[in-house]
Amino acid sequence: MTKVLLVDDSAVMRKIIQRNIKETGLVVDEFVEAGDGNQALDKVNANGDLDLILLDWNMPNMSGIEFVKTLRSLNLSKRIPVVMVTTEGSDAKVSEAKESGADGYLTKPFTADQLRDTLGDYLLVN
Amino acid sequence: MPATTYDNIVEDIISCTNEVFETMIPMEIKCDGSFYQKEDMISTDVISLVSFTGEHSGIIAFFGTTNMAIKITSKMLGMEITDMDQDVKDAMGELTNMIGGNLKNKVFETFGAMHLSVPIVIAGANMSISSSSKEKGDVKFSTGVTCDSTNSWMMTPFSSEGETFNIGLVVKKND
Repeated sequence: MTKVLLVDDSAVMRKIIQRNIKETGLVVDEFVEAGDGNQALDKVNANGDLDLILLDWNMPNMSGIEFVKTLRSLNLSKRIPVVMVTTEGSDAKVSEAKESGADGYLTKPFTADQLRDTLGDYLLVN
Repeated sequence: MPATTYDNIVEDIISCTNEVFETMIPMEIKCDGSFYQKEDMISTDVISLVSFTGEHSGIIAFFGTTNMAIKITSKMLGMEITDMDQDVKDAMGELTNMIGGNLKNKVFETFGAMHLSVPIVIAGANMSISSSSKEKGDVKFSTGVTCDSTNSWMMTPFSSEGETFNIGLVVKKND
């Protein structure tokens, strides 16, 4: 049972990511969605068995970078991989994300192949 | 690779917009040059804008008809959309966000670091925008969205299947 949390303030982008994941053969059994970092923390607390978090950077209320810093400060039973999926594409932003606890990075816009290649490190491929 | 200047930023806008469509929106678009337009001459159904701040500040925006916004959203989602709904507004916001983010990364060397706002989308019919204070150069939307610019909007028009949309930019170097 593979469960992925999608965190993006755009519901359309969450739909696009889900569709691309399914079309490229990446195996995900359940998607959980959140519209900002605050909602994402609630989802993490309610779903202890998450396998991966896909995280936008610029969101209202709590940004992606604030979320990942908070997540890494929590005493969770397992370390959930986090992949940033964001328009922030500078080297400085990539470094900041990784130093804050993100594991992977994908810049929008992305192709389905780029999504599969990035997430293939964390999800099985059919 | 040459650095972006004010003169060739149109090429970067075209490149960024084409890249977003080529990667995430299966829809052929054609760029039809560029032009400057005074804000009080703009009439549109959908405005999606992202403001940016830093050494330079301004707005990058999508201006288009309701039909064009619905068509783009249908292609983005891979499903038929028939009405202006929340998904269409959301999609236009994300479209502008991706074009703006991509542009920001391309013009970093010339314009310096910039922070992009989350997108704001306004949908209606034949909306116009106008300056609230020409002398100070403020640009104010009828909805109260403001930025600082002494320039007209630089419009880059795109067309697809008989419909058009514009990607507009106003930018100002901060003192």
